[in-house]
Amino acid sequence: MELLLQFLSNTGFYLADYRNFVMLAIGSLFVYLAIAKKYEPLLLLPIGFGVLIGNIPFFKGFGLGIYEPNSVLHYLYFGVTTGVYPSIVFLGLGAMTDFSSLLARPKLMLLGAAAQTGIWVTLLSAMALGFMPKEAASIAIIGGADGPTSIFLTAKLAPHLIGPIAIAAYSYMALIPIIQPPIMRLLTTRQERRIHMSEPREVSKKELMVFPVIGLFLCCFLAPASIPLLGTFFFGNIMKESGVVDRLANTARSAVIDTATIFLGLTVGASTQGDVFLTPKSVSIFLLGAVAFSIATASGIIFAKIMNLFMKEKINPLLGAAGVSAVPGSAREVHLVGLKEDPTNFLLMHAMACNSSGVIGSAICAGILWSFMM
Amino acid sequence: MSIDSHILKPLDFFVDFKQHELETCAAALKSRTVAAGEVIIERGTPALTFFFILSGAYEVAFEGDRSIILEQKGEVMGWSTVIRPFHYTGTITAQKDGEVLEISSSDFFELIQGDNALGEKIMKKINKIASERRTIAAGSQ
Repeated sequence: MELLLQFLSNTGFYLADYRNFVMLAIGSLFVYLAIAKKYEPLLLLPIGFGVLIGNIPFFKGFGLGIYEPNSVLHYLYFGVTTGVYPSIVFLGLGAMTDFSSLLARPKLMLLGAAAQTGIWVTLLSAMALGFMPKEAASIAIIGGADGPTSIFLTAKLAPHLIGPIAIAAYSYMALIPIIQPPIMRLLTTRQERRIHMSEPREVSKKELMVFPVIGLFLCCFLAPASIPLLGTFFFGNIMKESGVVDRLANTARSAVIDTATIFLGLTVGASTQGDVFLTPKSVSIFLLGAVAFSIATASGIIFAKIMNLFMKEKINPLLGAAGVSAVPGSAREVHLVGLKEDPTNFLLMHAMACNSSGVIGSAICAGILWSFMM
Repeated sequence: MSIDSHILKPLDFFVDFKQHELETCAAALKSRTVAAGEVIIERGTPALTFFFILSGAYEVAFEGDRSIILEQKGEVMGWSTVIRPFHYTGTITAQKDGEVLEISSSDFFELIQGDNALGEKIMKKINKIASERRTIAAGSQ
């Protein structure tokens, strides 16, 4: 009988508290959405299953949990806490990104920079709400709408917040079709949404090959702390554009990025243990994340409108909304909102320019925040 | 199953595509055989994949008992994957055995990210097809 009681007291059923069940329900919801609704399955399935793994109750000190040294999950999580997985993801992103539309119209880079305003406004807001500067910086980076960048910076500054920040960042990336269009319509007139952009010039192969090198120098001299992200990003891009290592470029944009995404999603999900995730802080992070993302969208649009005051050839202010780094989701939304207003207005290519510069912009901001906060 | 770019060349949709564009598209598309009676798209479900016809005949049944038959090689089915409303507006059933090329929305957006100009070219064509199809569907009432 004693043995039976001992066995029962060792089971997850005995060790569980309500937080485990809440998180297991959330994890199951993610898995359901990924499989049944096919909603962002590449993100939601690994994260959702990670939430399930991370929230099965276990004996503390047994070397099982993600926060326990020497556990298998802890070793896998090492790639998150050191920033290795985000760097690998950036390598793959670089190998799959085409910068031709950005190079054809470099002034659209300014919109990618302007959209980063959301990060700085949220930084100040979070500090005003009582978050420590390092925590505030980690929350603010959600405004860049870039999951790997958010995880990278949070791992460096506030590792205890990786779970809620990663989940918030990916949630807002997935919610782009819901969050961005109303802001776009609110801040632009019908006439502005109908502005056609002129055909971009053709960009030469040479320009595309030189860009990763120049981009690396410009960005990493400005913010050396962004080297782990932008170094691999531009390396991936030169592999793509040079055409001399197609095999490596193909591997980087398929097997390599997929492997990193699997472990990133799984371990970030597993890091959401109920006792560390279900806190009032997490709720604040979600709210501030929404603010950051909304301000980022709005500031890109407003900056485009300001640019139009000084420019002869007007730009469609919707493009400003694509200044966040959620590629290509926000570019697609800009394109669709423009198309709804005028079925002959194709903004996709121009929006991709802003979107690509948003990726670079948020990585630079992460580098600046990291170096300032250390 | 992945395909070769020469399969795309004769299709109307790809008629003005350059060789490297055909190769990029071929790398992203997968071929799939379809059996007569098979429902490949169900109205109202999230649009996550679109198709090009290689062979066979397909009935598109819209709301209110309206329907059209698509059987021309290269015709697009499931364009709601890339333009609003993002859910299928008709149920598509194969009328006989055939073959289609398919691409998921995530693969399509990866293609756009990797080649902006090609992405826009495809979006423009799909948009044109969608407006033509809407007119046909409205006329078949």
